[in-house]
Amino acid sequence: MARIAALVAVLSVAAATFAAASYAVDAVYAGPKTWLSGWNAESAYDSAASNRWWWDEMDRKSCGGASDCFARVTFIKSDGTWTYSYSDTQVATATSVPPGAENYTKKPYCKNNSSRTYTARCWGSHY
Amino acid sequence: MRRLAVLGAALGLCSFAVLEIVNAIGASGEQPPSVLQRPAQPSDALPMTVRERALAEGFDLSSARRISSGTYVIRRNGGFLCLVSVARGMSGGCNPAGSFFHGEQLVYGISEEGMPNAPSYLRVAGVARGEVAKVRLRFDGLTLETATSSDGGFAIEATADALAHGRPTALDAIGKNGRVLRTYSLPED
Repeated sequence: MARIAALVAVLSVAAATFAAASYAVDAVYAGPKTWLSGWNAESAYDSAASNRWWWDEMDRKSCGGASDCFARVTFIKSDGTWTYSYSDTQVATATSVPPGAENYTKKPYCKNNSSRTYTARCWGSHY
Repeated sequence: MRRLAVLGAALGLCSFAVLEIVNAIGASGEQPPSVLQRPAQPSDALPMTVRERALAEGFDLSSARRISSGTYVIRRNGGFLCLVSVARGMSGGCNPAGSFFHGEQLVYGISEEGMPNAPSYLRVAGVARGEVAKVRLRFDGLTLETATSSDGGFAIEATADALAHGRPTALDAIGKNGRVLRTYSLPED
C-alpha cells in the first residue's frame, strides 16, 4: 500500500512538472542588443489557439531604474490596433493577456520609447 | 611634465571610481517599500484570473502585497521586486530588490489601450517612498491628483475628459508639506 502511495506521488510530481514545462514556450524575438531611441521590434503573428502569445517583456535594460529609461511593450492585433500596452523605466517591463481572453491573432512588440540609448532584449511566451 | 600628466589622469580615474562606488551604495543602500514589512492579509492575494500567469513567469504569489486598487508589489525569481497592475490584464515592471527605487521618489508604470498618440484608456499606477503624500498627473491644461495609500501605493485612471487633452506630460511626487519633491517627464509615445 505504501509503495502504491509512493508511486502515485511520484507520478503526480512528474505530471505536474510536465504540465508546467509544456504550459509555455518562451521566445526571444530581439536582442540582447543596443537600442537607439525610438527603435522597436516585433515577432510574428500567432496563428491558432495552440500558439497564442500571452506574455511580452523587454528585460535586461542597461539603464533600468533611471527615471528616463522608458520601454513600451504591447500586443498588436491583426487590424493594427494596440492592446495591453505598458510603459515604465524599470529593468524589466512586461505585459500579458489574461487567461481566456487571448484567443485572437496578435503579435508582441517592444520599443525603446525613451530619449536615450540602452541595451536590452525582448521576449514573449506563447502556448 | 609627463609625470604630472600621468598623476592627473590617475587622480581623475580614482575620482571617477569613487563616484561610481558612492552612487552604487546610494542606490543599493535604500529602503525597500514599507509594505514589505507588514504581514500578508487576505486582500493581498493576486486575483485568481492572473495567478496562473504570475506563477508561470516566476512571481512568488505568497509575497504579494496590495498597495492600492488593482496594484501590487511582489517578488520575482532572480532577486527582483516588481510593481504589478491588474486593472486590465497583468502588466508591470521589476527592479533588483536591493535598489528598487533606484534613488527615485516613485516607481510607476503606464497601462494603455489604443494607439500611443490617442489612447482610449490610460492608467498610471505605482508605489512611492514614505515622504510622498500625493501624486499629480499632468495633462496639457488639466491635472488629476490622488493621495498615496498607507502602503505608498497610488493609481490614477485618466478620465475621458482628461484624455481629450492628449497624453499626460508629467507626474509630480508631492510631499507632506505640499512641495513638489520630484517631477517625472512622461514619454511622448
